[in-house]
Amino acid sequence: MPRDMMPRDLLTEPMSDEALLTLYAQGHGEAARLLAARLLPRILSYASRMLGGDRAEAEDLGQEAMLRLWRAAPGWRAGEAKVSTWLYRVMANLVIDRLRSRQRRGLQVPIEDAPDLVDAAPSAEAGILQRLRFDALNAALAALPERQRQAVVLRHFEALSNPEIAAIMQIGVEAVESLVARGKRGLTAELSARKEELGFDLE
Amino acid sequence: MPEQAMREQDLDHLLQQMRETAILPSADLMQRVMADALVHLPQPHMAQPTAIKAAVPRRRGFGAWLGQLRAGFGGNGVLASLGMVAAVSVLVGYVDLGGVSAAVLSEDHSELLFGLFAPQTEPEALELFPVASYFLFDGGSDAQ
Repeated sequence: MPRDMMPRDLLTEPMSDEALLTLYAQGHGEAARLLAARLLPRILSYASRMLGGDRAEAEDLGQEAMLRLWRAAPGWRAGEAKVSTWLYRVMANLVIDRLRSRQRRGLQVPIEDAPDLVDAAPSAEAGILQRLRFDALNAALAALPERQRQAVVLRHFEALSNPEIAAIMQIGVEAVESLVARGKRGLTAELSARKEELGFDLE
Repeated sequence: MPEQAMREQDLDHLLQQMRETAILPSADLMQRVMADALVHLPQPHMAQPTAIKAAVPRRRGFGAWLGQLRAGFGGNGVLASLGMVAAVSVLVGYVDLGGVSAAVLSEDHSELLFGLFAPQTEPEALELFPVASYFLFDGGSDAQ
């Protein structure tokens, strides 16, 4: 679509997810690109953390979640739910289905290498230590019960508020707080066993 | 707090660091997602004429025709007035124009109607188509 036919707002002013989705439903393909750029990294990050860093699986589920969003666009009713909340909920269900499928097949959750660092470590030694810690955290997350892991990832990695998490997980806010607290206690217990190895004693 | 337990602030710090490591979609994934978006891109709709049609209830038969005529002339009042004028015009074509003219010019227009239906003292042939007779009879009575 020629740029001179695009809504002016799309070109110059930030639009809400809902507005972009409405434009997509009206036939503006450019709105899909903006939506994907905005939402795909978030749900990909969520899926990756939930799947123990399995990038390939996370990408497959990310594509599936976005496909469901495109299909839902024509019937989307503004004001009923946030697009991001809806998408996280779809992704959460896809992730849970995948995790249960792994359990049924007796597969362990693969703990892959932590994502490449953005060169924040001042030295090679610090970089190695950080990678060790990230690997340990991924393993500790994988060991959490599914719902606690979900709550912790949404709270501490996706930086969502408790009410938003409650809407995604379809539980109450107090239940979210409880899951996050228990999840963090579980992570602390797992990592404490490797405290010296991971260098927490030195800080 | 047990000596071996990790400090909560250490965990929070570690979570913060890990959150800052970006997990970006690959170019291949973005292409696949955009390909799906284009496949399912809704087509823009033309204006729906049924929305306009729905505003005007449709009736059938003479009632529908009369309704359209009424709407076209701007309502019942206008239509009635035009109907009266048309009826008077037809009647004027059947009676003595002079008598009619005098009645029309008089203040009491009731003479118009009375004069139209009053019997003529000297019955005359009605010139239904005076212009036509001019052509039919070699120029009409004047020519005779």
